Amino acid sequence: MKKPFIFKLLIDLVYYYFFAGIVGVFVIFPFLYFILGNPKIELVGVETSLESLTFMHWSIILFGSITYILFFKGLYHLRKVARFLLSKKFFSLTTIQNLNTSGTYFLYSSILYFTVLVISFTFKIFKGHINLSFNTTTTLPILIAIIGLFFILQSKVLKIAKVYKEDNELTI
Amino acid sequence: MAIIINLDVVLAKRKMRSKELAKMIGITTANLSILKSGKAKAIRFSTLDAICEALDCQPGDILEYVLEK
Repeated sequence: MKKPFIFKLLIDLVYYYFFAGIVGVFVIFPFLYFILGNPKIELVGVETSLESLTFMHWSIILFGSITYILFFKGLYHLRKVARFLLSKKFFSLTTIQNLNTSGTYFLYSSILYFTVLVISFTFKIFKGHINLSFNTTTTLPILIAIIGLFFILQSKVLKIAKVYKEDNELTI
Repeated sequence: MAIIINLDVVLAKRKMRSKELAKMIGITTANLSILKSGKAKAIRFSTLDAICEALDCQPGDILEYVLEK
């Protein structure tokens, strides 16, 4: 079965990509600040610099960071699910619990990401910029919410299937 | 569960071993053991039919209902 292998590989790639992002923020960014001085940064389409951060910017940073961490935790639990699927433990309680947890984290991260988008949109309006566009920026939180909810529902389905499987195994 | 399996009693009367019965009815000794120990949640009619045929008995000889208090 190649699909579980490819599934795990892709999740691992995304997981390490996001991990590199965390390393980048906490290690590289302060390093660049001391070399470049006051670099310009872009927060969800809102341009600013480190020395001119307002309350709006800080709220974007705060919510954005929490979103990132929640999504990263969702990926962490999804990696566990992928590992169990690879070893064909489809109806294991660990698989079910991790799938449910992963879905919950994805759902919360999508809600917070949507909040970040609303804050940045509001900020841009106050600055006099209105940019209405049909792209993945607005649909991404909805997609992540759909994926999260699907994982939660799938974990419930697996839980029911586990009961049927055990009943069937104890049916002589 | 209130249903008791008296398979051991019938096997003893027929002087048959569990392994023999399992082979005759086409189930594993592990599954027969689950049935005998009362851990089974259900029994198929086809399995009950095969057991009764192999042991020449009635379902009532194997299955007993005891009211749980």
